[in-house]
Amino acid sequence: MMGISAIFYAIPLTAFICLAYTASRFELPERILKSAFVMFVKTLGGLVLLYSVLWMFSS
Amino acid sequence: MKDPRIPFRNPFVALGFAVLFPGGGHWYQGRRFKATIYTVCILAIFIWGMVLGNLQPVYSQTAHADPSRGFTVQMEKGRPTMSLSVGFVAQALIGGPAFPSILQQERFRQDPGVVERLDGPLESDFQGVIRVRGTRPGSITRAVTGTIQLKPVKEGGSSLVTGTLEGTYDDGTDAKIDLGGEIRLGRQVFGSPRREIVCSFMDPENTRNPVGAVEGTVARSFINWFQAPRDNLELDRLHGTLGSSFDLASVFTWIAGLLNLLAIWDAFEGPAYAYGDEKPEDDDDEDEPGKVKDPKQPEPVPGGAV
Repeated sequence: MMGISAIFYAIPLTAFICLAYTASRFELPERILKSAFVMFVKTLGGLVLLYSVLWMFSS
Repeated sequence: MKDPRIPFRNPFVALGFAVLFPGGGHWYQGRRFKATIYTVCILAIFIWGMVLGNLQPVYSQTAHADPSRGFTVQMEKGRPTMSLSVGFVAQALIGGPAFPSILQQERFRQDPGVVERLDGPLESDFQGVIRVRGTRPGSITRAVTGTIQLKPVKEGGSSLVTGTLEGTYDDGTDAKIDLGGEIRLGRQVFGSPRREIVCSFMDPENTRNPVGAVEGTVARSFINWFQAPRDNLELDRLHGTLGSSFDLASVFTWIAGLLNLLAIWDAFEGPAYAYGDEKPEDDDDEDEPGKVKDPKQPEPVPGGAV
């Protein structure tokens, strides 16, 4: 049922987590958005790397 | 130290609002940008989890059937043994949206268990089996789905009922069964949208002789199952129906609760790192011998305030 589509759950979920997390770190909106964006890119990059490694090992 | 630029108002009141609703404390304090982030993000994750899990991933207690009695929790009398659902520790942190679990837990504790009478007419969809007693030991069982209509034989309620079950057997043939005799209904408050039911039916030629029973489930009202405690059998059913979606749904609600803990703390104590306009610290260049300090640079303000 979940299949490959489960991967795409990660994108909005990561965005929400990054926004809520960085909102708890800073007060200024610009700083929150900037930090959230950086965290989002780094997290997705890490996930892509992780999935790539798993894909390589499983193929 | 709390930043004086942040309008905390009364932090304890803000804490209360933050516990009641994600972002509630920030709305009270007028920190609208962060309030919007918390409310939208945390509630979105929580609602997403609830939808993925058929509105069933949040519950505070797991009930355990007594194996010596041989009944399911729904069909047991009295209060079963219960244990805390570990995931609820995280889910409860979301506050208000998980409060119904506490309420349902108390209703479940006070529930007397299996219901052996019908107080008024009952009409619902039915899923289950019909067991007909054979001439030899054992019984014939056939799956049937349809609509069940029952009413007590006496006005005001009775343990004896009459009614019909109309639907189709699993092989596609029509089923019409006249019901009559004793009824047993699963406990009223339970964390499943389906309520167990067992009702006998009589020999058409001898209405005092039960020849079988229908066993299955009927619909339970939303208020009696939403966020209520359930047993491992129901959890197995959920996993069987939803597969990994139910696990994903549970994780989503845990994440929402844990994020709200950060929001609650922020409403009470302020952001964890800083206001956000601080310049990155220099690498102690000013302390290097021979370096001249720039006279145009302003002295740092204590506490970082402007």
